[in-house]
Amino acid sequence: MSERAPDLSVTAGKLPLKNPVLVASGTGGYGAELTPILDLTTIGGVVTKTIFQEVRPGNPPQRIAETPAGMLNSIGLEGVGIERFLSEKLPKLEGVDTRVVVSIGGYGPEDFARLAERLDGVSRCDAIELNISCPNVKEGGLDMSTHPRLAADVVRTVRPTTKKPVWAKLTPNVTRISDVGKACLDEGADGISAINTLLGMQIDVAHRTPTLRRGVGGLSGPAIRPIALVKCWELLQVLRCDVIGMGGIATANDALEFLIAGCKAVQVGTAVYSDPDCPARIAEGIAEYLERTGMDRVSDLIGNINLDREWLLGPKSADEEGGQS
Amino acid sequence: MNETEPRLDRARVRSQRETHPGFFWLTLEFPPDYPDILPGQYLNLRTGSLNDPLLRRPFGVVEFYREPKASVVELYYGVVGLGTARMATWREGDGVDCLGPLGQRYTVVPDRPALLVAGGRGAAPLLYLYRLMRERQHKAVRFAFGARTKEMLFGLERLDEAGLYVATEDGSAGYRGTIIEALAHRPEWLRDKPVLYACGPERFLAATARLAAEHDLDCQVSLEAVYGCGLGLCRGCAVPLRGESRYLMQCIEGPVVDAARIDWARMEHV
Repeated sequence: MSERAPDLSVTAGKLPLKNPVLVASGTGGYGAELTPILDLTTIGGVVTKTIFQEVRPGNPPQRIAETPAGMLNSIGLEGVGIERFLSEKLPKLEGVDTRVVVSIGGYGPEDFARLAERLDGVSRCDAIELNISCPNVKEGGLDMSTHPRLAADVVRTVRPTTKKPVWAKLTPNVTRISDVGKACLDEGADGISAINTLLGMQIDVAHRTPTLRRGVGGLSGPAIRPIALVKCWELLQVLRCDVIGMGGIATANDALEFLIAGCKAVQVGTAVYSDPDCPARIAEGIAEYLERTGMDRVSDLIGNINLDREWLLGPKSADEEGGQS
Repeated sequence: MNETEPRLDRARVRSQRETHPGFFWLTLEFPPDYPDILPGQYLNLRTGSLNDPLLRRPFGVVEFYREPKASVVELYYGVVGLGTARMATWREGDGVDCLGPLGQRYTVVPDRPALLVAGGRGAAPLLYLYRLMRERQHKAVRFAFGARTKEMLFGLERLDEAGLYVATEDGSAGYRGTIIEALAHRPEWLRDKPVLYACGPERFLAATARLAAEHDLDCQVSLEAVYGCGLGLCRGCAVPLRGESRYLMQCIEGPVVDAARIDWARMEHV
C-alpha cells in the first residue's frame, strides 16, 4: 500500500484535471447552481449547460419522464445565450479551483465556430465541448454526430478558431460510433465525449398520449450504462483516442468501469439530479479503490483491464479487421 | 431567491400512520438547527434505492415546528406510484435522504382576508399556512376544501368549523361537486376581496385561477409536477407564462406562483 494519497490527476483530451470526475453538460446548470450542495473544488470540473448564441426558451412541458432506472428528457436546449452566460453565469465560477468546460451548440458549423472564437479569449473557459448530439430540438441538423461528414464539418470549422482543447460529444444513436469519432479526430478534436442520450419514448396510458410533449426524448441514467460503456469501448479499441466517458454513472464503481475500459475521465450526469453531491463521493471512491489495490496513480488504472484470457472482444481496429478478412 | 440554501439531511421517521387505505401521515425529525420551512416550500425525498425510483419525490409540508431536540416536519401523501409505495413501508426510526428546504413560499398579504382553496392532497401546505395565519391573528381566514370523497378530507380537526367549507365529488360530505362550484354558493366569501391561496391538481388550480380572474382577486397557486432535481438543474418542470416565451422553472421559482402569470391554456393537463 502506498503511504501518500493516490494521485488522481489526469489529462483528458489535452485538458489537465485534478481528478477524472466532471459534472456532465445539462445536469449541473452553469456550475454555480450546484455549489450549495456540491463543493466544486473536490471534482475535476464541470461541463456547462449547452450555450447557443441566442436565448432559447426550450420545449413546452411535459419535458421529463421517469423510466426504469432512468429518465427521458426533452428540454430542448433551453439556455440564456452566450452574452448572458459570459456576463452573469461564468463570473460566478471565477476563482473556483475546478475546470470549466463550456458546452456549445449551433444549427451549423459556423454557429459553433463563432461561439468557439468568442470563448477562445475567455480565461475561465478551460475547454470546449461541442454538443453535436442533442436529440431534442426540432431544427434539422442538431444531431450532427449521426453522420461522420456533418460531425467533421463542425470540428473542421471550429478547430482554427480556438487554442483551447476541443471535445466532440457524440450520440450513441448510430451503428458505428467510431466512424463518427474518427471523423472528429481527423479534423483535430482533442477528445471524444461519449455518450449523449439514447432516443426513447414513453406513452401515458391514462391519456393515451406520449408523455413528453415532443413525443420522444433522450434516455439517461443507470439504464443506459452498459450501452455507454460499450460505445466508449468501441471508440477506445478502434481509435486509441482520449475518451471522456459518460452514461448512467452514479457511483465510484460505475466510474471505475469506464476508467478501467480506458476512458481518461468520466462525467456524471443524471445521478446529480437525485444525488447532487455524488460527484464528490465518486472522486473519493476512486481514491479509495486505488489505495485498496495499491496503485499510486489513477493513470495506472486507466485502460488497465485484464484481458489475459481469450475474451471475445469486438470490434477490432480497422487495421486488424483488414488483416483478418 | 430562497431565504435559505437547500441542504442534504438524513431525517428520521418519527411515526407514520395510514389515515385510510393508501393515505399516510408521515412525521419526520430533523436536527434542531434545520432551517425554517415556510408554507408552500417543499422537501425532496429519496424514496428508494439508487436506481428505482431514480428521481426524488417532492412534498409540501403540512406542519413544521421546533422541539428542544428536533425540528419536526409532517407530510401527507397518497400512494400513487413506485416512490410513494416505497414510502408506505417506512417505519419508525428509518432514515430518509432529504433535500430541502426548497422552493418559494406563499406570500401572505397581511391586511387582506385570506381564502385558502385546497384540492385533495393539495391541502397539505395550506393546513400549515392556516395554522400560521391564525397564530398571527390574520383577519378573516377561510378554508375551502374539496376532495373526491369524505375520507380524502384530511386534517379537518386542525380547522375551525366556522371558517370551513367542504365539498366532495361523491357528496359524502358537504357540497356535492367541486369546491370551485361550491364557492358560487358562498358569494360573501369572495365579496370582501380576499387573496386566494390555492394548492391542488393542475385542472383544479386552473379553475381556481379562473374564479379569481372573474372576481378580480389576487391568487397564489402552488403547482405540482414531476421534478427531475428540485434545484433548477434539469429544467424539466417548465411552466408556460402569459406573454412570455421563457418558461418558469417550477422547482425553484415555484411551486407557489401568481396565478395571473401562468398561461393556463398551454399547461399540460388543463
